[in-house]
Amino acid sequence: MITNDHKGGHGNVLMVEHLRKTFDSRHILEDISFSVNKGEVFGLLGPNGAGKTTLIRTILDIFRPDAGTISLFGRTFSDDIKDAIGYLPEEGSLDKEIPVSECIRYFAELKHVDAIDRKMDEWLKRLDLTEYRNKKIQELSKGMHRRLQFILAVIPQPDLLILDEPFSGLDPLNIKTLKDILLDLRDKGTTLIMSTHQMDEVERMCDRILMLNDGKMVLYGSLDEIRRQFGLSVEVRYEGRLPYIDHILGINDYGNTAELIVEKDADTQAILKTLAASVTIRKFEVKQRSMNEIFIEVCGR
Amino acid sequence: MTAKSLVVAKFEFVKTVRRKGFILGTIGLPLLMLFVIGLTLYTGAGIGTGGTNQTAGYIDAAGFVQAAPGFVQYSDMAAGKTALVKGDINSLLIVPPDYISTGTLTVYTMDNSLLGSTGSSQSVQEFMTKNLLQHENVSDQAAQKILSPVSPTVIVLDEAGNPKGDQKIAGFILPFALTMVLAIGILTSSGYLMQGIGEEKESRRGEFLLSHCSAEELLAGKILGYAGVGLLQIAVWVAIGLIVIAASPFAAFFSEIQVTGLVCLAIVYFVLGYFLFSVSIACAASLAPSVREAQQVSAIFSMFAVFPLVFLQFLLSDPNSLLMQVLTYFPYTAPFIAMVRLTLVTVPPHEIVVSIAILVLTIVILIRLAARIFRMGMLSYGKRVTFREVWGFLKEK
Repeated sequence: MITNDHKGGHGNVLMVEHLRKTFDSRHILEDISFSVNKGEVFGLLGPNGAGKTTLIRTILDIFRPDAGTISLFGRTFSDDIKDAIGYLPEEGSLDKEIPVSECIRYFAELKHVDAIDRKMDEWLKRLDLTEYRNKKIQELSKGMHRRLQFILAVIPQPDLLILDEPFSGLDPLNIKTLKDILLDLRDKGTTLIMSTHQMDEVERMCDRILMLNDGKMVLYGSLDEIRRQFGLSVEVRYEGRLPYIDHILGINDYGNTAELIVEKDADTQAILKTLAASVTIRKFEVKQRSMNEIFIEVCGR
Repeated sequence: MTAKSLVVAKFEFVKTVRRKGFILGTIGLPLLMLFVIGLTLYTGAGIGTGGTNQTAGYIDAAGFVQAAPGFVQYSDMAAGKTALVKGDINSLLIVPPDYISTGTLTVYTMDNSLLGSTGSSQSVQEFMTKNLLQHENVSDQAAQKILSPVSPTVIVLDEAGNPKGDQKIAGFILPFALTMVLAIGILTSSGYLMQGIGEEKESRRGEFLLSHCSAEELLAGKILGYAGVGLLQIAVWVAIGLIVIAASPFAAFFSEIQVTGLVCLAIVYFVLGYFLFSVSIACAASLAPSVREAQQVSAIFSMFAVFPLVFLQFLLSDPNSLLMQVLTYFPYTAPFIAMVRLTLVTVPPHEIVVSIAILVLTIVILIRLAARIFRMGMLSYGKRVTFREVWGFLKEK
């Protein structure tokens, strides 16, 4: 367990500076710098192959960086720091031939968890897996298997919890349960780093994000800042033929509904007037750009 | 060795020894072998062993056969055949009048099995030898010595003409047996180790494990755990073997075995050899894309274990040849070749020192490199790792 001295008080839990990682002369990560604050939910975004998993593995000291530094809780990586980090990988299955309780005990012992039985029972109950305590892992469904993996990640009561696609393979009920637990952990001081493709979850949960594309940082900051940076969008339901409109960056026109992507400082009232002069407007809604749109725009360039 | 390595070792050990395959292989296999041996001995027991169903009959036309326990004389062929068909006897031996000059016998039997026939022939041979010796007035004592000669005491001399180490044959058996045990241990444990690592890699579990402990800790724990599995299996086999030996007529022969320098050297080679092969196989398994390919790669290492058998002829004819010296220095063959040579001749001490030094040095270098190969190999899912990539792994900080 990391002491308060080592946690760096209320400052950064993770600080990455000018990180570079190369495999076989191929740059997987290039000049990555960011920090994660204590108690925040940090989103790690990017398309497949962007370098997210490599970045997580490097943070976990599974890979060593070619250049740059990583500090966790204000110091460089060491074995006791590993015990303070929980990790839920996106893929990988647990040993199917052993009982659930034995699997939890094994991974808990590796993280020097105390009172394993009590904590095991608590988490099994919370994740609705109590009746599977003594059953072999091969008897679990995919969703149960994912919940068990989640227990393994959280049972050490980590100060930093890194989750790679935490909601994959889960039904909406389980997603809600997991989300509630994650927010509860955050409220209790656990810092969360969440790598995901589900942008709606990012919008609901994350305070700040880092978006990678081709191993490079393409977006970094708070969600509000980033959304402001990308301007607004207007959803219009109309009858008639759309006119030419100034200060519009792009239009997704579906015939009677259109999504207008407007410039950052555009006057939406002026756009409404222009539209009203040409078509019958049934709906006019100004909203911030969604993370999904931003993701497609940034990574699809 | 850290606490995490011990946790890994305990987990791997317990998980493996509970597998049905392990229990069957460890206890079932030797019991099955004992059953087969027992069945063979039982069904192969010859005539004249005293049991009512093992009684043999004979018709003595030569006139020199004397009565013996388990043998019933019949006056004519009809009476003998009737007794055989009724099951009073299990074979009928016809000694013709010209037996002394021709040595030809005929045995009638209802048992057409190979084992039964073989057993009968051996017993008939013994029965007739006894009678011939008595016919030639050889004393009972001398006849007994001819039938059961005493095992000779063999004293092996070194080049200087002095008795070499243990003077008893039994003294050589333990080191040789340890060499064989090492070979078996490597073959069995490497199988479990390779399978364990292969399964972990296929199920992409390595990443999660490496977030709990370092590659060094994981590797050390696995090697220790599977070494325990292999040693437990060997211990059970040896225990069953010892029980069988203790209950056999060879018990006194084996009681002569003493722990000498040779045995200690065998243990040193055992430990070093075991460690070298485990680390090598762990690396090979972590680089293979599937369990099947891991088996193929680890088979290369297993081949070294059978080198003494491959080179047996050269070993026996000239144990100190240049080839054997080279194989004594080569780390992957040293544990086997050196030990067999030590049981056969006096190996110059400097060869043993250099051989052990090379082994230790190889293990130290491998340990430094193995963790990097293992760590990166475990994360290279579903693809064959190239030499260039391995070189890249080795350059990892």
